[in-house]
Amino acid sequence: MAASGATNDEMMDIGGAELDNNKNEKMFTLKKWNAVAMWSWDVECDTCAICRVQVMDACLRCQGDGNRQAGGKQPECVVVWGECNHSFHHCCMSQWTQQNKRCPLCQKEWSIQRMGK
Amino acid sequence: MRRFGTEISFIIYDILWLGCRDLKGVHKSPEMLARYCDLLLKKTGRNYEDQELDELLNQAMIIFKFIEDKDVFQKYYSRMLANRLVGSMSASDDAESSMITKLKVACGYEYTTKLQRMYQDIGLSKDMNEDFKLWLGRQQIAEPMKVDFSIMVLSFGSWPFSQDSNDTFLLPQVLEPCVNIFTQYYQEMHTGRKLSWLYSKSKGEVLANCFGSKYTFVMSTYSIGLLTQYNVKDSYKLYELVEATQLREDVVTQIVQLFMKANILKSFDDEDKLSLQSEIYLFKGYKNKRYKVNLMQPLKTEVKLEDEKTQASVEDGRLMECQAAIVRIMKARKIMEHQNLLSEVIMQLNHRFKPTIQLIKKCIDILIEREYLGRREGEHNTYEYRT
Repeated sequence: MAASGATNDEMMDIGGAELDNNKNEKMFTLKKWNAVAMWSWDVECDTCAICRVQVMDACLRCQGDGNRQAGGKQPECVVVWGECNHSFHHCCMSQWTQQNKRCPLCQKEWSIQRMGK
Repeated sequence: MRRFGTEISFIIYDILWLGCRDLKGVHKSPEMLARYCDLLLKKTGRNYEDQELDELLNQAMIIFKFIEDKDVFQKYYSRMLANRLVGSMSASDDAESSMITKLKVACGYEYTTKLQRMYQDIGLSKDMNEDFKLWLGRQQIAEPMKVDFSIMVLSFGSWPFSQDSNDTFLLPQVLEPCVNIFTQYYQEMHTGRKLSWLYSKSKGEVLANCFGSKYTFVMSTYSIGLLTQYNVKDSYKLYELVEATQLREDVVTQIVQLFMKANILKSFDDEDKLSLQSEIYLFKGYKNKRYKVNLMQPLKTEVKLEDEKTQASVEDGRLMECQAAIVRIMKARKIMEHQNLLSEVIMQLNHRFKPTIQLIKKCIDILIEREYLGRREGEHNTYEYRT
């Protein structure tokens, strides 16, 4: 008895929910959504170990260049990831690799895994 | 000076003569000037002609030159600019950009980098929305978006926003496709980036059909999450709303209060005496002369948090700038007597803010601890630069 009662209730519930669902579309409907999101580089450490500036900001050298430019437009200063998963400003790293072909953090041979875009 | 209106002369009077300090003796003028600029640059019923606005901004810049704490002004200005940009509340893009240029001329490139980047982000986002629409036309998408979607993508670090603290929030189902599809687009366009969504700043338009007339409510995503619960039934206990949205209790309470003020939701309990057991029900008799109602308001706790963060970031910034100044001076002079160092640091920082003796001493101590400086043997009052 109890069991059949429960199923009965359940069925009622489902029926009720469905009815509500139909009513739903009419109650509150979302028409428009202006989303806001923030992007950041997908890095483990947010400071570039070479120039000690946050990777989200342009590296020291680029900041200096931007300073000198009359327009003040920041040059593209992207991030680079090595196979070792360490990340730096691309500008900083290309300077570094001219002298030393190893990752400054783990001393493994440096090879680029991906570049930020 | 002939065109100074009443408003501006009031403000000059307050700032320069009364000094307007708050109870703790903190000078409020930088904040007030930033608020005045916000008033000029924000979209309101009456806006100025371009030329007139430019002149008013020039006048504001005259006052700006008299302000000691330019760093405090910067923080407030950046917060208000951020809210104008994200809320699409700017009266004129040109005026925004010209004001940033004026500040840059007065204080240098570094002072305005972040303001400029914020302004650029908005431009980039506009282009991206166009591009996203084109991309969308080329895709076969199993679960398309059911709402009119647009987005602003801001670069982390340049904006005075922190990541959303309500990370458990259950996104309303209709928004899931938006998030998924856009994330897919973003990953295709860029590499090595991650997105975090600011739901409290994202706003939506909700069409309400359950009242006498049709109304459109503009509200934050959290509010949408809460209000759409009433599609299922007309009444909830507050704790049920907490469960359904997975927002923090204080956030739910504030949103409910907001809806109660707007007369959309009601409770048998008083607005400020809500508890988890309070019954919150939909007020079917809602009426308003306006058909489009703006319910997008920052939550009190959020504003308070932002205020605290503004304060903290001013203090952090000063600590860093002061240390940098000391190192610059000592690097050039090598050896220096305490009093001379103090006056030179004050001179160097004067264009940004007036450092207290306390602050300089604190910075010297930090630098001694980190072995940038040392006290000279025998002469306790003299520092030397350590390399």
